[in-house]
Amino acid sequence: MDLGLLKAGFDIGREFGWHSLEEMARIALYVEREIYESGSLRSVPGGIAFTLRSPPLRMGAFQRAQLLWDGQALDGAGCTAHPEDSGTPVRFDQLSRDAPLVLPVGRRVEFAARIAPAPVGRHTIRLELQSLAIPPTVWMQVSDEVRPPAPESS
Amino acid sequence: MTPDSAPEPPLVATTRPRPEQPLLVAGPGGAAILSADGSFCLPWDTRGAPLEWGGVYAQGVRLCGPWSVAVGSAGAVTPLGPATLRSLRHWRWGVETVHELAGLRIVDELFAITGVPGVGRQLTVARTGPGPDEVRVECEVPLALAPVLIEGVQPHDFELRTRDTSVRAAAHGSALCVESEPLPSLLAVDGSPWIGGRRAGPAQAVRFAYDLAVPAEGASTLAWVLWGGLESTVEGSGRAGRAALDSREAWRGSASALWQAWAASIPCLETPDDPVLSSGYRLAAGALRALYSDPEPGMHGLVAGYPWYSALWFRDIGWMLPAVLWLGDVDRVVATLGTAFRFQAPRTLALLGGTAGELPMQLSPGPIFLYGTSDTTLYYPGIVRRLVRHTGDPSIADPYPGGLASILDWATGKLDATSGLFTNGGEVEVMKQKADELGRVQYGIDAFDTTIWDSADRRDHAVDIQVLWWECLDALADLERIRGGSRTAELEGRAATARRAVADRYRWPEQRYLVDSILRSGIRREQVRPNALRAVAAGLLDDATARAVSERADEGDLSTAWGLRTLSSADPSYDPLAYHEGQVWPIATAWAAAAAFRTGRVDAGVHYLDLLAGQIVHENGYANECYRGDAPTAFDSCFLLGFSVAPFLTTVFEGLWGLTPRLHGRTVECRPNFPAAWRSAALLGLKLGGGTLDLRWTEGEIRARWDGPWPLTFTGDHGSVELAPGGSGTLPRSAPTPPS
Repeated sequence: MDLGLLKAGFDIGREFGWHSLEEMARIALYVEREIYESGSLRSVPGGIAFTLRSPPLRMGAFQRAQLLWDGQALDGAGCTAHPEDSGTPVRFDQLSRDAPLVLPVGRRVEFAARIAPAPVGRHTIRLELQSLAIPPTVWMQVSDEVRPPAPESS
Repeated sequence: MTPDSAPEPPLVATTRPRPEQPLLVAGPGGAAILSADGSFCLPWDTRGAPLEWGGVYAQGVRLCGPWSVAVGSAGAVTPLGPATLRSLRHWRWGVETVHELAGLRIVDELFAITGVPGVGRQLTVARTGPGPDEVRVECEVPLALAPVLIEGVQPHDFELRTRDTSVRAAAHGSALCVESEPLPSLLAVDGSPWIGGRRAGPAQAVRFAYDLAVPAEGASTLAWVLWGGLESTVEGSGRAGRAALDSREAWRGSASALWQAWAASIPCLETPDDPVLSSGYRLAAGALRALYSDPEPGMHGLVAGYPWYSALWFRDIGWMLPAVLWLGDVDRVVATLGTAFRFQAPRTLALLGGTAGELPMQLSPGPIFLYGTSDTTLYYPGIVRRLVRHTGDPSIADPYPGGLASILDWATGKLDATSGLFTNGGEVEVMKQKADELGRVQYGIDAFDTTIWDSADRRDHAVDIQVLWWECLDALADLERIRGGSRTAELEGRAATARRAVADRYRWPEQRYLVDSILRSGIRREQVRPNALRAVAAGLLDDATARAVSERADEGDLSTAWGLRTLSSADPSYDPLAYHEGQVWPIATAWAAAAAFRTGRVDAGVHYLDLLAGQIVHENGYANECYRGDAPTAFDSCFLLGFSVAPFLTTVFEGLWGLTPRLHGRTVECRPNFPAAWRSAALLGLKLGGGTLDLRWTEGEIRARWDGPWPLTFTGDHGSVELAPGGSGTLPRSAPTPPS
């Protein structure tokens, strides 16, 4: 238990009411649950995939995306994003100002990356995105266990 | 709803769909966003992509997406929208659309309501031809329940419940509630029938169906209240939604009366030689009023903007409150200050990015709040001083001495030990570290700085932050003097030091300008940004330098025909699409106007004001946040931002009219800046110190009428005149201002 964090929370509750602390914890949980789909990191043929339930703190059009696997940048030609209800997956190396990746509010996006050999165990993924309109990089990082591929239905 | 009952002509009146025109209907706790195309949709360029913003918002939560209605017969309903629209009228307080389809005439009215945070909607269906006795009406409410402070994130799973006469949805502590009269005959979730009760899991939309008996002669009505916000608000409000629905006969009257009373109370500007300026003024005032917000009991302020900044942002409020004071809404200023100081950090709150004495940047019901800016706190001593000067009541500052002292301590802690300059940047680092310790998933934005252009790196000592620091000290010194405190001389001395730092250390003779920032190492960031104009408007530079800076800002690399860029187009970092690295912002244009007036460049000042007024008129009473740097096209822009109207309004009063109230000394100074081509102007109904001041200017002569509780000294460049209560007087004549 991090006592510093406990004290920080206690200070907020004491000064502004415990309800405030509760509300802020609610928002923190909301962000935790509604962006990265828990347990979505999984093996797929030739690599891995994971799902975001919403864009990570910035919506709209992104002219650059990068995926890091355990701290190593992956080749953009092997990484794709596929927003639900959109046609085909978009390759990271084909993103540009004129052909950005659009992440709407509250829409699932399937990310995939080519990694060989297929990894197992716990790994860290970091997604970096650069908005068309607001330059600073937006990022999301999670450590998760790679799940085996979903069994094919017969 | 008739034109005669409207407080003003409609902002928008059209007989054809205009999907590009946003409409906002805002009440104290809730708002609706839609477009003028007859539907409830608003596709709007957002961060470079067209995203959908139509829906209802309350308590800092987007409750739902486009709330569509379809009318016809069971199994064959037609959505109300562009294809059925016959006319639309929009006032600040409501929208009325008239639709025709298959022998029916439908009037769809939307109102801002009080009582619950949300909106009321009423559909009146009448026959224009033969048809079955019953008309099927279906409405669909796409579920959102997305807190607006968390950009782009929306739940996928909801708990749906029917209770008494309402349908409720909840997710992560946010909730919405729909009440209707009559009650729906059918409910469906994502197209599947739902008999009511409780349902939890993935959901996208709830559909309500009604079978409305419509007589051959006459009409039938269907009404809804859609409201919500925090789940605790919805659960704790009992039958409040039903009560709001039951008062629907009064919706139109109350909403329009409130606006009518307010519009009649604000100062009236007359500029016969420049009609667009007075039109823009009136529309800007209404736009600012539309941002007033009381999202929960005891929480008051103004929303920063719509659609995606619909929460209380206290930096933005710092720019809005001076204009609110000029409009005479002292109570709004007092209540907002009360809210700001209530959330002043009493000690370091690392989780929230706050240090002792700091005022919050963002606040939403809950309360949920965050600190972590370099500038927000610095605005507030100046606001308190303005309050005293406007009201003439020094005791109105009595609640704030402790808070102001804490601000001074906080700010002193941000001074660089070597240079003495105020430091900006890195304010949210501690919060990021703490947040990383909390979650299994980490998120972040690599923004290092926290000035008004918070996506640009302007560390470590941005010029406008030094201006704010001076203004903070100057205000504290004034307040100390007014209350007879002992620290006046010390504070004046510190203000003088801050003033010298701006005047001496930021000079950039090669550009006849000021550098944008200075690094801790002493290296100067030689960038031409509009922020330097703040030093001119504040009067921190000698006359020659101030004029040179103001003139330099007019040049084509910074100034465009649609306003000032955030960065010179000649700068290597310039990007016409980048928020703070090249886009044009109306607030920067207002700074240019204020600087021009301050340096006697009257025509330039009026030019910039006209530009802003023209945009507000062109946008039908809305005011975009920003435009592309290379074309007069809104890009990644809220369609209404307080930044885009309030500084314009303040500059009308303080730049154009040259007004400085010092009601605590029973004095008002007036040094107007009217172009030589003008013949007359008037400002009527100015509320100052519990009285009303009317000003009429005709070719160099200002006639004032004062209706106040005590005598007033009215001062101009060429002398003063004493105004008794109920009395009038004329300031000595001055020569007309030659063209600048």
